[in-house]
Amino acid sequence: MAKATETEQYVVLPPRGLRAGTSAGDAQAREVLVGAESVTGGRLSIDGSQVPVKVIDSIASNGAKLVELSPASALALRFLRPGLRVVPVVYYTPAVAPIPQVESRPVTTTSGRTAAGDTITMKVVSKKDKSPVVGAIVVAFVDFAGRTGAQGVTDGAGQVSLALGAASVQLQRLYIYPVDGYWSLIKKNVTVSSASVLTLAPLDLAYTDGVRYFYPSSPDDAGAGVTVGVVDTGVAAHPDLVIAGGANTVPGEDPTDFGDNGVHHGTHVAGIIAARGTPPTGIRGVAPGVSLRAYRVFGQGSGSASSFAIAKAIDQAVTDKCDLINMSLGGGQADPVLTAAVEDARAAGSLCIIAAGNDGRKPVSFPAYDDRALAVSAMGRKGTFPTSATEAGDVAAPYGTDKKNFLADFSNVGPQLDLVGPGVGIMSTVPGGYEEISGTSMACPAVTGAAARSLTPKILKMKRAAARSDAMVTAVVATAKPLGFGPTFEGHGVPRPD
Amino acid sequence: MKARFVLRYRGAGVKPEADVERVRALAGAVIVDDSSARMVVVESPPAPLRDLVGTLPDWVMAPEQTYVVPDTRPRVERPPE
Repeated sequence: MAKATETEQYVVLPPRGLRAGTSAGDAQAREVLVGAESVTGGRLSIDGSQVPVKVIDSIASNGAKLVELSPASALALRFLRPGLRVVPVVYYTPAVAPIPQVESRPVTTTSGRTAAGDTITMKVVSKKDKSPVVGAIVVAFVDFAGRTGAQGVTDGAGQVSLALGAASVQLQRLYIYPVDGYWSLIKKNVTVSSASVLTLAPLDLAYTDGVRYFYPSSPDDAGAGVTVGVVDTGVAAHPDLVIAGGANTVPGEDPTDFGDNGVHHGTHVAGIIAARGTPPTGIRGVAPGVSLRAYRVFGQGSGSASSFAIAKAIDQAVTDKCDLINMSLGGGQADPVLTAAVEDARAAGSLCIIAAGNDGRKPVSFPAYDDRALAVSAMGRKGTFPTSATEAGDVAAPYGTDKKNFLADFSNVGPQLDLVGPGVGIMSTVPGGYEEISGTSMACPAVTGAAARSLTPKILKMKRAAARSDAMVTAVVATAKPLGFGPTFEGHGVPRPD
Repeated sequence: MKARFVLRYRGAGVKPEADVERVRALAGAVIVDDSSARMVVVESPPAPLRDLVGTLPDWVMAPEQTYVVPDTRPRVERPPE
């Protein structure tokens, strides 16, 4: 990973195609591309700013340029001329066939037991009143690096039985993820047996989590006049949410059923943006005043979505005049159809804000890395989640100027990042209650909410075309404050409007 | 062998019906979703569909892919020995 001052190769392109045209929309790109032909002293002058750049190759005076830039200079160039595409050079290598791996499998005996031996039955209860916690996912590792262990879900009595091979077992790590209403739990190097009882702390909606730390005040009209589309697993009816409309673009399903598909992800994302509750009985998002629309692209009960459904949802969101489109999804191969949908949205005056992915410091995933979208990484802050929560395992370098801030261990990184948002231990709405979850999926809507708050009436009145989207990018980025991680980890930083 | 593709129209306005009809008429191709103003989902042998789309201005084509909800939770991959 390059440091902020090291240079990398980028391709600088006009908004579409390889050569800037003569239209008004291409004017700024044309100016930069033509100006780069005669760079002197290694600096490109734009609006009085001097951007260090080394031009290596060019396809035409008005065409794409191969350049060397530092990540900081690339960010500056995107900020000064948001219509330009500044894309890191990608080198492809031949795909190597994976080495065959032997995987151990459980062997069923005549008694029905697995070769792992006797099971351990643990109980999970509430710290508040010792009542059973139902439906919690319990993941127990005897060898964390080898991902060896057992997992299960607590039953109506709060009990879970795990085949761990002995009556008493030393676990390297034990994770518990409740369905809702509680903080998660992590225990390291703990011995468990059937006498083990694990307690979970209830969520306190007045608690200052990461979103509430960075956006402590969200008046009712924050984001008013802005329409936000959530392309996700659908959004459930919830006392804290007002859903203006939406669509279901999953082939074969009811197009009007944009409610939660059972995965809860989209409802959580929506609450981070626009929840209108008041703690301690409800929760408040970053921009409660926005008009919220839900676009369900994941089938009923499904954790995967097709490129067609996503592209169709983006199109529908643009048709419905969504200004911002939140996409807390990704991770597949690059897809020209989805790329085209993101680009077409940008050209139509809408802006896609996309999660960078949770692969643990791997490159920003698709479609977030598309230069027509804003890519968002996730950070956390010590003190905004209990030290006993699984989020304690997400603390990792780099730390910010304020050492309490850290880039989440799971977050993807790279020069394509535009912004960072709080995404560790975030409380939000789920069907029937509230849940805390971590991920770039949570950082993304925090940034989307902040983006909504940064859009001025003047921008919102602009003609729905590329210049409008570019103005939105400029407005959002102008509010960003670097936290000290460096551009390849946080882009311009965390948006702090108002 | 048939595979599933998404075709997207990049030109102005909605997808030209004449272009869609050419895809529909392609031997071995079946349009399985025509509900989008700009796209169609087609099951077809790849080569003839790619050849046809190459003759249609302003269309892009890609195999249909799936994307997941990003997750941060570790998972057990094997039981203890």
